[in-house]
Formats: sequence, structure tokens, C-alpha cells
Amino acid sequence: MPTNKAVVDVIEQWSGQRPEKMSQNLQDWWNQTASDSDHNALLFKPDGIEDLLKRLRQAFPASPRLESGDFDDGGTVKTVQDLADELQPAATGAGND
Amino acid sequence: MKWLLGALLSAVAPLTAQNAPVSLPCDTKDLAKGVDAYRIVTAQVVYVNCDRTNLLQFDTTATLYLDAAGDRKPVAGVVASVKLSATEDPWIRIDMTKAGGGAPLEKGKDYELDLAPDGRATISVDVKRKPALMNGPFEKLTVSISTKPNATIKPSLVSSLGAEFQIYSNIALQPFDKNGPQFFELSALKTKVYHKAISVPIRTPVPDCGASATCPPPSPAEENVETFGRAKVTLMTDHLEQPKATLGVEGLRDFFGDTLKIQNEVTLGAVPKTKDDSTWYFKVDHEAGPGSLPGYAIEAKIAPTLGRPSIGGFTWQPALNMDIGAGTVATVKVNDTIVPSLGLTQLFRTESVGLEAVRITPAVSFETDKEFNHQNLIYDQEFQFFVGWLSSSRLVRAWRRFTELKKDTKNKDLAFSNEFANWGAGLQPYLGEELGGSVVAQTVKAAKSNESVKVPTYAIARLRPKVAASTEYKRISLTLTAVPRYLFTTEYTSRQSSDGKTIRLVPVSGFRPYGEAGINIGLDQSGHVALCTTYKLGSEPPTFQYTNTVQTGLLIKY
Repeated sequence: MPTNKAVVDVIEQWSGQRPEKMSQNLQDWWNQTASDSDHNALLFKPDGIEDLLKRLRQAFPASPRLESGDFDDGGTVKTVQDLADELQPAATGAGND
Repeated sequence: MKWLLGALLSAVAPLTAQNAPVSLPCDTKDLAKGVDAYRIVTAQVVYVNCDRTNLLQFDTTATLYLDAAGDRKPVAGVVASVKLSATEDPWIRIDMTKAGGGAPLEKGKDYELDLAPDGRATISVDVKRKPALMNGPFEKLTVSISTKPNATIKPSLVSSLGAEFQIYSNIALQPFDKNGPQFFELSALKTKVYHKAISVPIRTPVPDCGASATCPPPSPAEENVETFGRAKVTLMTDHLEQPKATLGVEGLRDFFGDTLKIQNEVTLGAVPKTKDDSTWYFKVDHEAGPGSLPGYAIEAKIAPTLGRPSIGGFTWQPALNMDIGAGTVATVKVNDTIVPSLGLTQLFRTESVGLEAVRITPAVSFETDKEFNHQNLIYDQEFQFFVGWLSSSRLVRAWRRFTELKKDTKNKDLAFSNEFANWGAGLQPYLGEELGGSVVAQTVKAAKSNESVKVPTYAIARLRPKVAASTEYKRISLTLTAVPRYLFTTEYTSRQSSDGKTIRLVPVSGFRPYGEAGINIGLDQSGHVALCTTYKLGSEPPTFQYTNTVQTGLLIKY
């Protein structure tokens, strides 16, 4: 189960900087950290999202698998906190069957 | 940012005394309306989300009040201590005890918690990977919480849109049977339509231990506080297709034993039902050329990137590129290209500041024209290079300027806008190869006679370097694309006379460049819709018809 710290670690590796807030918008953060970085020429969509998805799959293989559409206007992932929320797997065999 | 300034000052020279109280590094305001503001786990334990990612220590006390603002009254006999949930976690944990036993929190009530009511706290934060102790006194921080049984239902991920939903409650859930909760949608007649569903907790239900008893403090699953109060609901037989719906769940109980009220509107239609992240481009042009009557041309590109399945990290990418003329364009030739393809694509980041990344896209494509006179099967291998110093987009420049302005405390309320930068520019190199051949020999007839010519099959081996450059000034952008294609084999195409009565076979080989220069004027702020004028010069496969034309039209791209 990904902790908030582990999710922020991935965001830091992805963007090159550690966001201060869990409510940080991911697209804004990508653009904000682009200047003089190693992703200056990469757009958030599709390149940044694709790279983030790859890193998330490696870091949290047991988590629900996100897709690029989850980061679109109608998707549920806008902020670091949203990302941490969506990566939480449901309990297997939980509940009183 | 007052807390950060305090932390920095403390790191440089620890202060022994400070007159003006500083803010606690706990930003509850940004999350207050969301689903992750706080969690009430038992009648004694509350977690509050401070939104911060750099907390190392957060020790203080708290005072509990019943009701809010002017009507609030201290809850007698309650002592509360505050600690950080885990290092670099945004959640702080507040443990409350009531003198003489009993539950500090009761169900169905509104409360406020004052953190650091006496201005004292021991706070340590991470500043540039070093711990920095913040010195007080601190401003008291008031946090509102409620034990009223309200919860929110939200859609889940795109891959399960309309079939899977998430429940968020600020109060921990009691354990439940997976078939217990009832999922319903509210019909247009305001009646409840139930759907068969199963529900599972996201890890941590908390058993009821008696309303007045002191419950054992539960531990969040692997230090993840968000998992309290959450459940996943999966529809078993139905799939909601409508763009919006009012949904609800009955039968879930919170820690206090109250049945949660879960009913709200959910948006389901904003994401394409194909689950694709669509990238598309459609342009209708009015066309003019030297000595010709006006005509029309249509240019379209559809290239959705499929989220799954993937092979070795490559993602499927079907595409359709089309550039064809329609109507009468007199002697002026237009591109006549229709290329559907199926490829795989993957971005490889180098994490260096020069060549930042390479996108590799192998694909199989079928080249034809609108008359279907060519049928070329091609293996197309493209490399797209991202070079940092060749790119300075307006958006990134705007963010750089915004970040500089925000450093000034006078601009602390400044909001980001694209208008912080007026111009941007970029250049992107590509290298592609096209290998394959014409799969069917074609007999092509002249349009206005019975004359025909047989176009034989042929092998294809082309090198396709490409450079795409752009400059933008406010809503105006200039684009330039140059494709100096080289044909290593001889290909064949047909050419008609201008009167359409004769036709001949034409061999094509060697250097066959093509280029476009355009000016786009954005009609919306985001640049999705633009008026455009494009000058096209050169020839493109499969017809290699020489084009020298200006097209003006409306461009829509996403």
C-alpha cells in the first residue's frame, strides 16, 4: 500500500523537485518545474503523464493501474493527494463474507 | 509561507525568543472542502490532514470545543495531544482523553479543535533535505470536524468508469458484509433504482467498541490514514452510461454506529467511453493557388494512445493521417494521402538536460490515396527527440515568471496565468524510416478518357528526417515543418494531364522534400481552436504529387 511519502518520492523523481503540498496540482507542478530541468521539452500530456504512469507501475505494482485518461479534465487525478488516494488498493477478502 | 520563513531563520540561527507568533505548518484550508480533510477514527482519535509533505515532528496540544465559532463551548475535562502520524506524512494524529473516562466525541455533533492553544509546539520540518526546528510562539489553528454521518461517492478510475465507485467518509467505517451496502441511482422521477453491487473497504474498518468505552487506538494500514473511512463499490451486472447521475449507497455504518448518508451527483461522461486518451486534429481549408479556382481541402489526424494493453512498456497507438483535396482545385495539386497505421509507442527519458527523452514508435501503416490507386504496406519506425535547449515554450516561461513573482511577499495572492509570458519557441527533430512495398499492381484510368496506365508493384526504402519548429506570440503561432525525405528505391505513380484525358507512369526516387509553413491565430485561450493559413510545398507519398499551395481554414486540435 503506497504511503503518502512514497507517492511524493515518485513525484520528486518524476519532476525533479519535491512538492511542498499534497494539494499540489500535478500538471501545474510539471510545468512549474520544467524550466532548466530535464523535462523542459516534454509536455505534461502525453509525455509527462506517460512517464509518471511508468514510474507508478514500477513503484506500486499492487496498486490499481491508472491510465492517461485519469489525468484528463474528466478524470479523478488532479493533485498529489488524488494520486495517493487512487493508488490505494482495496482490501482483498475484506468484509465479513 | 510565514512558517517556511520561520523554519529557514531557525535553521540559520536558532531564535531564543520571538515576539510575533508564526503560523503552524498545517494548511487545512486547501483541503477543507475535499474528502481528505480529516478522519475521525474512534471517539478518542482524530487525524487532520495538514497538506504538508515535509513535516518531521509536530508535537503540541489541542483543545476541543463543541459547536462552531461564536457558539462554541469547551468540552469539559478533555485533554488532547498532537503528534505527527509518520515522518513526511501530511497527517497529524490527535489523541483525546476525558477525565473520568468516557468518549470525548459523541455522534452527530459539530466540533472545533484548537491546535497549539497556548502558542507552544515543537515543530521540525525538512528544508532542502535537512531538518529545521521551528521556534514559536505559534498562532492557534482552529480545525472544524463533525461526527455527523455524511459521506461522498465518487467515480473511480477511467478503466472502470461507470462500474466502480469510491466512498469517502470522514468517519471510519464499521466492518461490513460485501453484499450488505445497497447501491442505487436516483431516476428522473426521483425514485431509487437499485443495482447489484459488492462493496469492500479500502483496508481499515474499525469495529464498534461501545459508545462510551475507551477504544483501543487503531493503526492505519501501513501508516496510510486516508484508508480510514473508505470503501470501493463495484456494480456486478450493470454499467452506468449516462454522463451524470445522482448516486447513493445505503447500509454503511460509521464508527459511531450511524448509517451514513451517501447521495450526491457524480459526473461520468467527461472521459471518452473508449477509455482512450484521444489526440486528434481536424482542419478544413479553403484553398487557392496561382491561376486556379478556389477549392477545399481536409486534413485530419487521429492518434489515440491506448492506456492498455501494453507490451514491454510500449503502448498501442492506432492512427489515421489524412490530407486530401475535395471539390475542384483546377490545376493546383493538393496532397492526396490517407495513411492508417497501428503502432506501439514509448517514451524513454534520459534524465539529462540535453537530450531529455526519445520517443520510439514502431508502426505498420498502409499508404493509399482517396482514389485507392496506391496500396503500400510500410513498416514505419520513428524516433522523436526531445532536446531541452531547443525548447522554450510560452507555458514554461510563464511559470518561470510566475515563480519569480511569487518570491516577493507582495505577490503572495497572485494566481497563475499564461499571460505572464508573451512568447515561446521550440524545435523538435525526428528521424524515421519507411520500409515495405506496393502490394498490388494497379491499373489507373484517366479521369476523362479511356486511357489507362499500369502501375507495377515496387519496393519501398525511405529515410524520413523531420524538423518541426514553432514560435508563439500571445495567441499567434508560427509553425514550420520540413521533411527532407530520401527514396533509396524507385517507386511508381501516375500523372494525368491537366485536361484529364491522358495519363502516364512516372518513376519517383531520390530526394523528395516536403515542407509546410503556417500561421495560427488562437480563438480560445487554451489554443484548441484556431484560424490558420498554411503554405505547402513539395511532395508526399504515396502519390508524390508536387504541391505548391496556400490553404486557409479552421483548425481544431486536442
